[in-house]
Amino acid sequence: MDRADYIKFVESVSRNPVEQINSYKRQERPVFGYTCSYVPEELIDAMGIIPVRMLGRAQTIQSAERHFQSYCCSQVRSLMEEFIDGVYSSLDGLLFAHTCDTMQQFHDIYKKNFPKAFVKNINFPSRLDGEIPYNYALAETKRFLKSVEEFTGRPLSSDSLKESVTAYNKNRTLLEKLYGLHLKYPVDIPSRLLLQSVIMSQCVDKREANKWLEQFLSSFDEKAPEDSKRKRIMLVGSVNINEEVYDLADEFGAMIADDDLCTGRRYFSTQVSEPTVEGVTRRYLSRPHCAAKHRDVHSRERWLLELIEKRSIDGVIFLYLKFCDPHCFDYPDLRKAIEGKKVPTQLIEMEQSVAQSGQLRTKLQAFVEMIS
Amino acid sequence: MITLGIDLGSNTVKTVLLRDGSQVIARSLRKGGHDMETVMNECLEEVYSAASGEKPDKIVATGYGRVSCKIADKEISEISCHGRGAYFSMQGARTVIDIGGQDSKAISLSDNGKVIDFVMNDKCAAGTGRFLEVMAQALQVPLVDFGDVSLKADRSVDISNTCTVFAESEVISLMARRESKENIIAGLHKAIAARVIAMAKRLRIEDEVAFTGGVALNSGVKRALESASGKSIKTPDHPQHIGALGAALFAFDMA
Repeated sequence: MDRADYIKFVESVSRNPVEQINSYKRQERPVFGYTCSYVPEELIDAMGIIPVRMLGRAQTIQSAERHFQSYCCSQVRSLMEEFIDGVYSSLDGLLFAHTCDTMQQFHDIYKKNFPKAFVKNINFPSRLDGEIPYNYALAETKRFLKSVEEFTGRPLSSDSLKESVTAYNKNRTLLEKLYGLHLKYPVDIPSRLLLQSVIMSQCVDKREANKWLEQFLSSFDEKAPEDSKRKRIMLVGSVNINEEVYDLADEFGAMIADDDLCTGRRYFSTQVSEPTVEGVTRRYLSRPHCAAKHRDVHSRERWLLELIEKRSIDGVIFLYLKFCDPHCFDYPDLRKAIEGKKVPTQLIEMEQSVAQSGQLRTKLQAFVEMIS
Repeated sequence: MITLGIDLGSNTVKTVLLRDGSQVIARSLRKGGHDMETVMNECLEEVYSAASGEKPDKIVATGYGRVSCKIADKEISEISCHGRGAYFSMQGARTVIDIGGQDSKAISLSDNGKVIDFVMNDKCAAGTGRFLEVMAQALQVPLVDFGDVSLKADRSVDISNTCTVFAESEVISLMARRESKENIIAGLHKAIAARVIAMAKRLRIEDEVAFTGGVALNSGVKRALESASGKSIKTPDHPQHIGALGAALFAFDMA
């Protein structure tokens, strides 16, 4: 495998994981879709089921209009459109986790419209710190696990959980390494590869994903760092599948150096320290959380400021899906905190899968010019 | 040293030919169209002939068509160009409000004229020149007359829809109710100003505000912006050429 093979692979899977799902199905391996990174994937994997991240890619919304009002985000609307169209009809089940109201309703609406499907929701607590949330999350994780065990007809084995946790932790380490190497080799590792590699990792059996990542990353072992003075931009938001933002940053001589996205760093931050159900639960409670969760009033702010300092970030782009109220409510405080550290910010609101106009190009270019 | 700035906007093409980064030799403006390159060449002929055939040493392109401008040495965003051009035309400008054909933006400048923040509308046409164009068609009043007509209003009606398409229906309903065109146009100016100032308030609106872009020629919108912001707003000379001027100034830096 050379670098071009890796780039081709991650591009193909991250843009359309359906072929990947179908290939698993041809091998008679069960596949569950999951809509949120709070679903404890390790447990699914340890039960012999491949978890594949669901990210809405439908470009026009027609059938989903009957189920979701226009004020619901495009991630949910476009995903529902694809479910109705049967894009993911080969899935064996669909998993949700409680985050925002729209996602919660998505679970309910999906279940009502697809009554025969295996659909489960993990009611992960909104408050993450302290023993009460831990006890609640653990009980909920066990309840969730039980329903998966009933589906497979066998209990979770501690050996397979140990093996899954090892594979998942390794994937996290490799993605962390990729982010680090991107800073040294911004040409050979273009910014979009961060996004595509994370989405690939969310859609492919972890052992296979790790093999691809390991081979790609090892090709940089002896390589001298590129001489780069690119301005470093960090993205902050929920889910994103838009590659254009990454490409534009590169084109204008900057780079997406890091992110706080569900399809980015939030997915792979924080290892599972102990290969047990308790250990897995603790990881999901302690990882950098999204806007729909709560640790303490300033926890997200602290996390972002630390990342900005660690990565020497020159500017932050809040990349939000339109109508994403948890993130929009966080925005004023986060903006104030970041700009208070003399780091400029810019807000870009987008619709998932909708072709972007000249405005996005202008905003990105002007932002790079401003921080240069 | 002669430099050229080309602003390939969504609606019009503007060029500014500049000597030594300080003196404007010639300007041109033409309605754009599908064949933007031909329109641009016509603009260039116009400025070159006004400059007795002198050709520029460096060219910077801005505006939506900037990416396809083959003759430019560099492309720079219209945010940076409007900021630069406005600061040059109006020393001390700290906030720039630009309303063009397809977008509206507010730009914050530092005390030495550097862009320090900006906001820009999304894809929606509300709060842009396109909004007024659509309404001019519905009202059958030439757009150039909007400012003067609105002066004769005895009140400004409330246009409650921000969406251009819905606002057009609202205007048609108001006409059917025999509301005067003057009052409707004054209402439209108020609506566009409310939209743009709400956006600009995401930044801090300073006391020194420059209003640029094609819509800045409409005195009614300027008055409405002043009323909505509580600030005295100045329109620099040739407000449509501010982006092209900024581009010519950036070209001078490169030369």
